[in-house]
Amino acid sequence: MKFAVINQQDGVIAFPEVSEAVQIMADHFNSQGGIGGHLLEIELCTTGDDPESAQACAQRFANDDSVQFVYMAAVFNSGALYPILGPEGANKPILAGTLWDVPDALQPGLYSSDPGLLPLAYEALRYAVEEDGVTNLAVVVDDTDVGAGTLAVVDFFLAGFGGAISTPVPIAPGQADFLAPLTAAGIDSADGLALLITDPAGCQPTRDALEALGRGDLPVYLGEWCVSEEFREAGTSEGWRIVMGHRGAEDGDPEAQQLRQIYADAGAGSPVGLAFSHAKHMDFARQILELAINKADGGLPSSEDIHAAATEWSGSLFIGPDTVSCPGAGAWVSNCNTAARMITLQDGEWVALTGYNLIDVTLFDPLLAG
Amino acid sequence: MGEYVQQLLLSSGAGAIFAALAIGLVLTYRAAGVINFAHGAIATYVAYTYTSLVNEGEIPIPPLPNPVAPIEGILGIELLDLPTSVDFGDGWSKWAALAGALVVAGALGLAFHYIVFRALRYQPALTKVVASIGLMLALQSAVVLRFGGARPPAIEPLLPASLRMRTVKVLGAAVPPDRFVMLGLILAITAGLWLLFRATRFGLNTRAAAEHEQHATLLGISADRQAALSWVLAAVLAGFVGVLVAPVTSLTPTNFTLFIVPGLGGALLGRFTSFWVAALGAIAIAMGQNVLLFAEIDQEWFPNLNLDAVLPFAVVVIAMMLRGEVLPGRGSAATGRLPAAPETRWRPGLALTGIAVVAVLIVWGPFDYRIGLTNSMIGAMLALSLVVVTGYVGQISLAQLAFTGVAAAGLASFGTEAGIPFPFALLLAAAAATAFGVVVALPSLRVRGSSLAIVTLASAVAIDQLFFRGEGWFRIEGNPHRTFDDPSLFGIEFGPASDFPINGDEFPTPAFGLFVLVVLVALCAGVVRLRQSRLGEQMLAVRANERAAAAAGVSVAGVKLTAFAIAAFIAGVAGALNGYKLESIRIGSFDVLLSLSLLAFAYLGGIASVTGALWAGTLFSAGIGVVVGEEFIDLGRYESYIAGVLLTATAVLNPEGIDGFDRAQRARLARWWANRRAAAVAT
Repeated sequence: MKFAVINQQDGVIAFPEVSEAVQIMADHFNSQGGIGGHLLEIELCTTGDDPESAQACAQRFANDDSVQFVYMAAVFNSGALYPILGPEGANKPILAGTLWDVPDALQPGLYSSDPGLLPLAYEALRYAVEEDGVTNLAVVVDDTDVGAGTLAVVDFFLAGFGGAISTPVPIAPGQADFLAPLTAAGIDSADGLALLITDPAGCQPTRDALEALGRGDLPVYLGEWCVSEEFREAGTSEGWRIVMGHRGAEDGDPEAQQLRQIYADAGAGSPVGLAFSHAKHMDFARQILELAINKADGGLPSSEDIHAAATEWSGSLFIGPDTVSCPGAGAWVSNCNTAARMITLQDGEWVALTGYNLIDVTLFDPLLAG
Repeated sequence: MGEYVQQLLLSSGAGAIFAALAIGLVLTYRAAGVINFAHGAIATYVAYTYTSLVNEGEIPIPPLPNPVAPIEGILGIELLDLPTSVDFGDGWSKWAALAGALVVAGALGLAFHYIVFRALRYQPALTKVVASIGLMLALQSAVVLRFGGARPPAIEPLLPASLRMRTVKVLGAAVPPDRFVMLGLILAITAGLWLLFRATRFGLNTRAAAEHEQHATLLGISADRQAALSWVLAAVLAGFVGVLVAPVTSLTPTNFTLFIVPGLGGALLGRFTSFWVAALGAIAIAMGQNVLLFAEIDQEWFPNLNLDAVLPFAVVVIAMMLRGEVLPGRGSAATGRLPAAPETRWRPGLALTGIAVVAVLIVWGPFDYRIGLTNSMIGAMLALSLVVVTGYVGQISLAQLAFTGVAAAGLASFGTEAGIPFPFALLLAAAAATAFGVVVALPSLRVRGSSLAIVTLASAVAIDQLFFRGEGWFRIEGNPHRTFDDPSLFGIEFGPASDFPINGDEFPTPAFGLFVLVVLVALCAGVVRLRQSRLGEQMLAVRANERAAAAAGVSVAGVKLTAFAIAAFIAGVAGALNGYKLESIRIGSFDVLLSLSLLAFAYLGGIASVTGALWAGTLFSAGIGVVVGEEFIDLGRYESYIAGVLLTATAVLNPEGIDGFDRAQRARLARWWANRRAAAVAT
């Protein structure tokens, strides 16, 4: 079964660890007889930082009749793929790894176990205000096209939860010094900070700035970008409240241990950051494909089989609720409802703060009015 | 008010960074006549080297001195198991690592001088700009190849925690003292450089060589040696600053390159001459940015238009308009000429053959050739825009991609949203880009050369921030609703997915490719006609010598504005076509750093001729050159690195670009043939 993969790894922003994770997991599946009895044949198309190379990869797979679906790994210019692979193009299902921005989440025919930026940002804000009782939350948002959706979430949240949140402060790419925006966000008097940035390069400067300003104890709420091994070893994320989308990241989590074992067996060290994320995404893809193969009575599934399987899928990738599903046709179909949980780094070990919380992405329907 | 004071004080860190870059830029300009766009990339590379020494005890070897590495990457095989770094065992102490990193910095500076800029000393500003862009691309790519691009490394700060992890009260505001220490260090370095150039033999010799190289040589001063030493000094300064401030900014392959715009703003304020004015100007820019950012948050009436990011542009433009010819001339012993702009003779047979071949490939060729050709044709249009403004008139513009973004947004507004039909929507979109082009052109009436390159770069940043991002007027960022309807005329659609009787079930269908071909032919014919026209002659006259052109009755201002307008129009058409092709707007298409790559590719192809633009198009990302090349080799992760190296090599070895080389070879062949025939007749 051809497993077509598009990954960004040729430019300045590159994610080679993601295609490595895909290959390791594919080899693992193949060592167990493949998926539904079909061995995987990885075909990788790599892109640079530009939309043209992303579009070229999409066109290559759109025109290849032996490709029935595409795994979109980590691609900044994902919007260039959709007109070609989506319902108005080749209508090939996209099993997506990392979702970046609002258009990703709205793409019909794209199925991902990654909740994406919007729900993670929302969960961070909700957790801070509703569960931790923060009454004066400083908010910093990413001033890029990838992070633009977070501003919409903050506004949406403000409307729903009243005045617990300060005016969000944008941080531009290549921010020279985090002191000024953090101070402008009002961390002096805040009892929490929502760090809704998407570039992990901002994690360490934020920690250092908070320590320098004497607010190192401030609870920080954010998505899963500051969980890499480097940040763990450096203690950067110590005490921070991090929303994890779909992967169990506590050290005791059996599924996390299983993935680490797979990596160790492959002699590939330990999966961290996006690599860990995509190892879990591959398991999601496996579940979808198994369902699709069943629909094809054990044969190679068609694009239609995979579409149907993805929209009917209900399952769990982790210890948690089993009611996770893809909501079906329409907006947010890309965003399979996912279950997130809040974790924190305590004494160098990841521990869970909460149980899983099912994210109903249809909550963001009002945002569709644009 | 106290909060605003705090914001001013908190800008010390950013001010130190921008000031350090500004004085480094002044240093290389004063000593070597180069505005070094790669200055930030040097800081990045050396900072990564420092972290590697501290964390791993290793010095990475850049890909090039290890010649087997890129070959292995291209061929996808392992030829020799050569190391990519020199391993010294355990991690080093931070001070030893700093020393080691600065030695690497010095070596980089020497390499830059002797391998690249020494050969370009007498070349025009455009060539030096292109070479520095090539080095910037190569260094950034080397960092990604050695360290990866996505995960920032852990950094051992130079300054102790006692300075970093507390605050002091100054004027009622709490500020970490390490920012003041950084600023103090940079100001001390500024003072040192000022003294160096005023009171030492080195400084006086460097100034003498800059003011009048011939006289300096007669006095026994080697301009070459002065330049080499200055390159080492500038690179060491960049490296030191990179290591010092990396804990504040975080370390990524592009951060310091992004800081180059405010650094250039400061350097321009100092006329690339005064270290003090450059440093203080850059600090003022940092202060202004912080205050503007805070005002946007604090004051409801203050517009949320990313004005803090626009500030460097405003500073640059005001400096230009107030100070006129900002960069002092250099008394070089000789001055090279810009690439030749030959008259393109219209050869119908050759042109029709070429058009036919491309059309056949679009219709019957493999779909990836169709994709590649379409991308190349749009790339050729972008390069054509630079042929007009840079090749014919000698004005370096780094804002062309911003114009494509304006046109794309305009197409969405006029076409999809307002329902204006094709081709009027496309023409209106291109007209919008033209209007922006005229505005961006205004500073060119007062400045030229590298200064103008900086102004247009700052303009591109301003357009990006004001119009594309956040709550910018075009509302492109994160907006899924800005899409494009397929172009159609008289009921016939010719979008990328439109029906076509041959190969109509593949993406893209030939319909769109043929449409783009028609537009490209029309634009090329237009530019050929322009070159042959009186306006074209006036453009070349302005390019050669503005004063002489004015004395001959040419309206220099009118010619420049017209050139920018035409170039922006062409770029706008390309932007609109790219929008049709992608079927949506993505900010990534107009990234400011991509503008640098566009100039570079246009130069590589041949920036002063229509055929040069066509050559440049073949080299564009996902263009036909890449598609055909990948049939034989896969550059993979080395693509950017090799592009940067090739670009620099072209600037040094073949400033006329591929087109110039091609013309030279054809002329040689023609001479050989003529000699042979003459010899045959004689016998």
